[in-house]
Amino acid sequence: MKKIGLIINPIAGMGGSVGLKGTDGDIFKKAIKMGAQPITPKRLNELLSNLENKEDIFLLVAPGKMGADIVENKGFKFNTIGEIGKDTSAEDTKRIAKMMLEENIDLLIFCGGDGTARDIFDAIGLRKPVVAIPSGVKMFSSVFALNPRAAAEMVDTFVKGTDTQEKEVLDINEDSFRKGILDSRLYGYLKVPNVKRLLQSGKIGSKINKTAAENKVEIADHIIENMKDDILYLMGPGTTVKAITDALNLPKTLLGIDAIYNNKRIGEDLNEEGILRLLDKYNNVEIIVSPIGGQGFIFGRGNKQLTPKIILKVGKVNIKIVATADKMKGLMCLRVDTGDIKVDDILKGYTKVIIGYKEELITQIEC
Amino acid sequence: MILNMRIRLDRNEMYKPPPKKIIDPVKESIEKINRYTPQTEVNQLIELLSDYAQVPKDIIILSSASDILIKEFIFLFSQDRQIIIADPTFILITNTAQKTTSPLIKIKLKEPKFNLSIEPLIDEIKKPTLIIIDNPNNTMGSLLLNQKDVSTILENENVILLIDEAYFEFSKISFAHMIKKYPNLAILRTLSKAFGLAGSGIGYLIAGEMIYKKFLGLNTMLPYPSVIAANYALKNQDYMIKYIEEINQEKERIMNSVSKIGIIVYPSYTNFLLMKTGISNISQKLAEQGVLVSDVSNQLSSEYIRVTIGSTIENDHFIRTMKEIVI
Repeated sequence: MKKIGLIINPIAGMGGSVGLKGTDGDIFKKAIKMGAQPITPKRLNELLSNLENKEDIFLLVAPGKMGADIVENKGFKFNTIGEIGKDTSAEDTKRIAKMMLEENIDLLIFCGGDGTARDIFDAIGLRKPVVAIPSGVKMFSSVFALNPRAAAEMVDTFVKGTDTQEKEVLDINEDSFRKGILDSRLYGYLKVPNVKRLLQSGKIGSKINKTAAENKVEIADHIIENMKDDILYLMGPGTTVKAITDALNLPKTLLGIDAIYNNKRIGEDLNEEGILRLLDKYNNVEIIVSPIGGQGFIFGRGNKQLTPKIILKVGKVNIKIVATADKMKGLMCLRVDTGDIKVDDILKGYTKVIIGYKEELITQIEC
Repeated sequence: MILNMRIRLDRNEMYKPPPKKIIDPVKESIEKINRYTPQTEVNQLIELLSDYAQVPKDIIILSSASDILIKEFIFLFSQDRQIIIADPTFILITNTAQKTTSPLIKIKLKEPKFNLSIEPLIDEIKKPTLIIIDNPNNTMGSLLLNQKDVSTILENENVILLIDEAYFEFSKISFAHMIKKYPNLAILRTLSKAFGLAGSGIGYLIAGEMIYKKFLGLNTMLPYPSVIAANYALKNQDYMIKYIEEINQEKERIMNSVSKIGIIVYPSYTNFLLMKTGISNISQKLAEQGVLVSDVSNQLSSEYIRVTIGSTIENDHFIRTMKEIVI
């Protein structure tokens, strides 16, 4: 029997139908005035009705409209946890998620958008895996399942037993987003169940059984084998780049830029100024970055410290892109948004991405 | 009864056996299975293939299944060369290339057309390179090469190019005629698809001079029934032509039916269709309903499937099951 926490953000996604990009802050009141209807109950219902292992689940549910109202009379074994007022807020999500953590849940299901994912990350981090039902207006974080049905499959897979993988949570600036500007940064990582493709039908179904973690180690081996002395390496954020520093037995700022020189970390969580100071001192420099899953940005999202000035100074030929094959499978192209159109244009075109040991993928940087 | 039937639309096979005029001599050959395959029959097969492909017989290399030829080819020509393949491509090409010690470069095929640009290859092929391209592509069904691109690649003597034309009979596009001009070109074909001889596994390579020399002395023994099946199939090509006509009609019908329920179907020059369904793990859901299609989730996302064109009854069952899942 798995103990599974369940929290829904009752207002998530309501801004979408009335043309408001998100419901963070006071925008929610505006959405209500414009006639927006809750959409999360429908999304949660879809998940609940598609769960196959109902008997093996005990739900610990947030009260009222944050979950219990919807779970009631659906034939699930459940208890409610925590209290909420008439209006709900991010604080409710965080507080109740923490309470669930204290109750030692095995998995947390949540329903919302990028804002909710951030709240869940703040509350539980990587301590427990999650299944994220997409129902927000903004869902750029790759932590979300494709749809509620896919989320149900993830829960079932977890109940049967599977490993987990880390997926990105992005922080999107809603004010900018409403103005048509996608301004995001990498906020953190949540663990999600690793849904393995169990079917093996026909030749093409034959698999090279490689997990994301194994793939990252292969990429790290390739990079390290080709690393040279007397070159300054600027290591971008993310777990794929961190796998390289892990293999070198060096610490790494997960969400920041670190600098490595001759197998030593000489810069930690660097900002533009710090990087420029290093560039004045070191002539041979390479940048190692990984695209953000789901969007494919290699510059301009999650690594704004690597400014156009730095990119120009290092040079396009000295940029190495690393990504797991699985991540690249989901990306039609790579993107850049450095903030300088001229630099974006220089970066555009065909590029190689290191996807394994001695294995590269040629794709395009397009937009 | 159609209900509860289990159908296989996952291996790009011909859905029915070849006609009696092929099966009967194969049955007879089984009675002589205590003997090695007579060389006269093998010679006849080479002559028939030479006529069929319109190439000299001395540049044809036979093999028991084209899979073996792919593996041997990659191991023979990847030494001291980098390997370039399309992504996605026939999974055996990817798997074999990954097992070599050579650097592997994949070129991502992009939606919506899944076509191949050779622009990023121009610099790469200055280095010693083995390029393997399936044309049509086995996953997408799309054509990846044209004569101009093939010439551009082959003008570079550092390059060996293997084109897998397993579905040539459906696409009717071949580069075999370029072998004479380019010794660094090889074409791989099979009788498993359009001729419906998947179980007999006869593959053949049409090899340029540079390549043919490397294969000398590597002849494999072909099973007697397989050779007989191939000889009679090549002498009775009318059934193959009819099968292709039938498949093309059914392909059109399936495309029209499933497009109406919101499924994206990509143009195909083969006996299968690639579909984007918008439903995750769709191959598993179809399998639960007894419909086996190809799970391509290791190359694309799990909402894609590759579906072999089957008989009218099988195709109807597939369409009906898809509708039940989607709607």
